[in-house]
Amino acid sequence: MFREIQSYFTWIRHTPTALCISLILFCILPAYVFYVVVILPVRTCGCDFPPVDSVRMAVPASDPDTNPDSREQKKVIRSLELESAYLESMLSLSKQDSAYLSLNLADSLLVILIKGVPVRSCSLTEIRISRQLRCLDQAQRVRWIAEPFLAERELSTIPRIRYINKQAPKDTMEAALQSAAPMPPDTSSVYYTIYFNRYLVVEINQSEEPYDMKKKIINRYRREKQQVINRETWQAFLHRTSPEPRILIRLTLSQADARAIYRGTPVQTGLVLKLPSDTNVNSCRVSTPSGRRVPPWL
Amino acid sequence: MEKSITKTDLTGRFTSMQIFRYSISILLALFLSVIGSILLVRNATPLRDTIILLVPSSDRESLADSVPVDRLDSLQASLEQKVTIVQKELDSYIPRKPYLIVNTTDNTFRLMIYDLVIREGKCSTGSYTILTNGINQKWVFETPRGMMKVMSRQMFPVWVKPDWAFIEEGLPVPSPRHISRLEYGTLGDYKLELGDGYLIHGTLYKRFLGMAVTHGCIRLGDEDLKVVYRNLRRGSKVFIY
Repeated sequence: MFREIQSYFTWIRHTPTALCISLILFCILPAYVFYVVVILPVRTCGCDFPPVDSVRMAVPASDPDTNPDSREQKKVIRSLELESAYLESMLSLSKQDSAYLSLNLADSLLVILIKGVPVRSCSLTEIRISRQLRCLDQAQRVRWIAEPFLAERELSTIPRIRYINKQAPKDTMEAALQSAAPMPPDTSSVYYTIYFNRYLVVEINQSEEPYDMKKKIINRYRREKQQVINRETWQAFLHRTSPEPRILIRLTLSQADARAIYRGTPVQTGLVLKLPSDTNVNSCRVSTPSGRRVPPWL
Repeated sequence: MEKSITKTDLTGRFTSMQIFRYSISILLALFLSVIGSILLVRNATPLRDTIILLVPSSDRESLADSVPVDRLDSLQASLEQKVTIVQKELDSYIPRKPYLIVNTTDNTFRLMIYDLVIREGKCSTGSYTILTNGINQKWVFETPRGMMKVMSRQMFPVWVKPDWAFIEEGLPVPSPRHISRLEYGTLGDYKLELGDGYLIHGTLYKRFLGMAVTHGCIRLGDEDLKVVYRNLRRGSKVFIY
């Protein structure tokens, strides 16, 4: 058997025709797949985002700016634009009754709010932002965050609520036999991904190392996440369209905070996003000082 | 002889072994290309992220870029004014009077005034138990989430036991006005009503503070309850998440 395989490879090395045909067939499908799922989305990156409203003043564009003061001033104006969009978005969610989230990437804070009141403020130990954000210009970024994001679906390693079913006892003796011990505190590892509308995906991971026994659940969660990506990519490939340009924001925070945020917000929660003014930073490791006082309007 | 061979004679030139080897090559190439495609699809996202680095970042189009330099000041001023107005409006949502925040995941509470913490500590909230009695009766013991208001306050409250309290103990349910429905001391020294039967009250089971054990109410320790009762009035807000 080994000799036959060896003779085959010897033959193919000495048969340029067969080698060429094999190489062409080997490369043609992956090349097409590579173009559709990798190159095409990068080329069309940013095009799927909402077009910019014509809010510019009707004046000719200024000459290339060589004045450092006006360059600095333009930086300030850009950050004010982002701030203004974020606050408008926050204001619109403040009017609703259910809890929602505020993700402030500039100050590394993830906050739960109810009716405009921050009820829990969590420091983020690490933030990673997808490089897809590079494709958006300033105006598109402002437009993108100007309205709240709404959660569409999620994947998680923990349930939202742990219900306990209990049958009513028939008599006092049966009631005495039923366990009255409270449920032990939940120590399961917390990893979840929330898919919002307008291409935003927020992935939240606990900073603590998971216990060995819980890794099965985490692996299943990671497999399901990968299946979502694979399914979308395959569907895009089969329909010969570009996969959706998802912008992924990966956050790391403490287990207790991650759990409280997941269980403290409703299923279809809203989220307001504040981008840092310099979004060329594609990934950053952040540590915040403890005892940080959160300004009321965040 | 060999030069005059036409295409129709081609198959005659190949032995069966060569045809077999060509077939194997084609099939192997196709198989490997499918495997390669699957791997590409699975790793499409990191590949895209790598290739995006090669794309120059977008021109930072902004209002500022389309405005003459001499009008930047007025643009900045108008944006700053807009931000200030919205910040003030958001700030007005935060109560200036004492309010309570209850965390049902960690079973903790914070008594706040504006953004200052007056008192914080442990509490007990709903156990998320579903009690089923036959097919017709079901109760879900969970603390509701959102913003609630204190509807009334009372000292030395008496607990009027609902039906589930008897069913849970395996006791027959008495008539609505029966004396066995009244229990003294169970709710502690103070009670604040939040509406729909939900209360903030004290507890005899202090060892269960910090755990999800209640039937929906919020239980506090004696000292914490005293401070909360003294600070919250009718209409004070309670935020539960």
